[in-house]
Amino acid sequence: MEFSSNQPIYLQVATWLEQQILEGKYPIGHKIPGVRDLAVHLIVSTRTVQNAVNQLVTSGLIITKRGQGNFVTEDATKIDNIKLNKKMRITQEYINEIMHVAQAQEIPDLVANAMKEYEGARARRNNVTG
Amino acid sequence: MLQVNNLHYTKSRHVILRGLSFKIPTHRTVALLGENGVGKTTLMRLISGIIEPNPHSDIMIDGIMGAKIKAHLSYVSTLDWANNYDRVSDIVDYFKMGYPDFNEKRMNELIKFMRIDRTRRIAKLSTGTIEKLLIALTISRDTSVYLLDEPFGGVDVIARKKIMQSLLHWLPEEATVLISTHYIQEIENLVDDAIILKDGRLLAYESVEKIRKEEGLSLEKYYTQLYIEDNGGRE
Repeated sequence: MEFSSNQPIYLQVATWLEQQILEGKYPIGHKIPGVRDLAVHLIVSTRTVQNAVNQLVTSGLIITKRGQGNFVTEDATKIDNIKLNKKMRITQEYINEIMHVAQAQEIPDLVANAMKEYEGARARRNNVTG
Repeated sequence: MLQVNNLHYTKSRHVILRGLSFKIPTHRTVALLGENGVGKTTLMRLISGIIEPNPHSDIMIDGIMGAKIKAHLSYVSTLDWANNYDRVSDIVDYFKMGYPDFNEKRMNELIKFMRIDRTRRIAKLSTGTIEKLLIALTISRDTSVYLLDEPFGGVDVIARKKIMQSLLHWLPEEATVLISTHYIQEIENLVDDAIILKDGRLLAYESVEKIRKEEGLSLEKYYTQLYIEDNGGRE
C-alpha cells in the first residue's frame, strides 16, 4: 500500500480498511484479521493499525468482541449509511474542487461536458473490446 | 522503559555526545536518525555497556542502572566473534546456552520465515543473510529493550521487507525498541517516534503522526528541514 506523505497514516489505513469492508472483502458480521496480521500485511506499526481500527469502531463499522477480536458490524443499515455518507463526502469534495476553478453558473455545463466525454470514452472502450 | 540522562561521551579528546537526555516508554518503537558519524552506533554501544560514557552520565532500563541492565536489553551488532567453522545452528546453540531469556520457538519461526539455512557456515553467508540472522537473534530474546543498528544496510528490497515484517510480527508488544537507520522513508510507517541527532546532541524527539498532523510533513522532509534550519539555511 502506498501512503501519501501529508495525511496521518492511521487515517489512510482506516480509509483502506473501510473500503475493504464496503467492497465486501470482509462481509457483514465476519471477523477481520488481527491488528498484528494487518500490520505485517501493510508494513505499518501495530499502533497505527490499532488507531485505524479504533476509528472504525467509533464510526460503528467494526465491533470489538472481548477476547474474540474485531468483527464487521451485523447492522446492514449501518453499512448502507456509511456507504451513502461516503458517496456524499466524495460528491462534496468534487463540488468543492470545481467551485475552486469555476463560477457557479458554469458548473452545470462543465459537468454535462465531462459526463459526455466520460460516456464517449466508455463507448469507445466498449467498441474496442467488444 | 529506556532512560538516558545527560549522556556525554568523549573519545581521544574528540567530543561525540554532548549531554544527551531522553526517555522511551514501553510499547514504543523509535527511529534513531542522524548523518553519518553523528554517534548513532556509539549511542547503542553506550546503552548496551560495550563502551563506557563520561562520568555523571546515566543510562537506565526499567529503573535499573549499571552492568545489570545488560540482562534487560538485546543487542547483536556483529557475528565477528563466531568461529570460522561455526554454522547457523551453532550460533543458535550459543544463544540458547548464553541467554536464559532466549526464545527458541521464536528463533525457529524467524529462521523459517527468513529462509535461513541452519547448516550453512557463518563464513559463507551473504551480507543480507548475516543481517537477517542478526535481527532474528536480537528479537528472539525476551527482554525489555531491543537495539537495532541499521537493520536495512546492505540488504536488497525483498530482504528489507522480510526484516520489517519480522519486527512487526515477532517483537513483543510491550517492547521498547530503538532502530537506527538511514532508510527514513522505509522506517517511517514502522515507528511511533523519531529521535534526530546532530552534532552530538538531540535535535528533535517527536511523534511521527504528530509531525504529519501538525507540520504536514513526512518524516524524511521534517528531518531534512530540521537539518537545514540548524545549519542556518544551508544544505
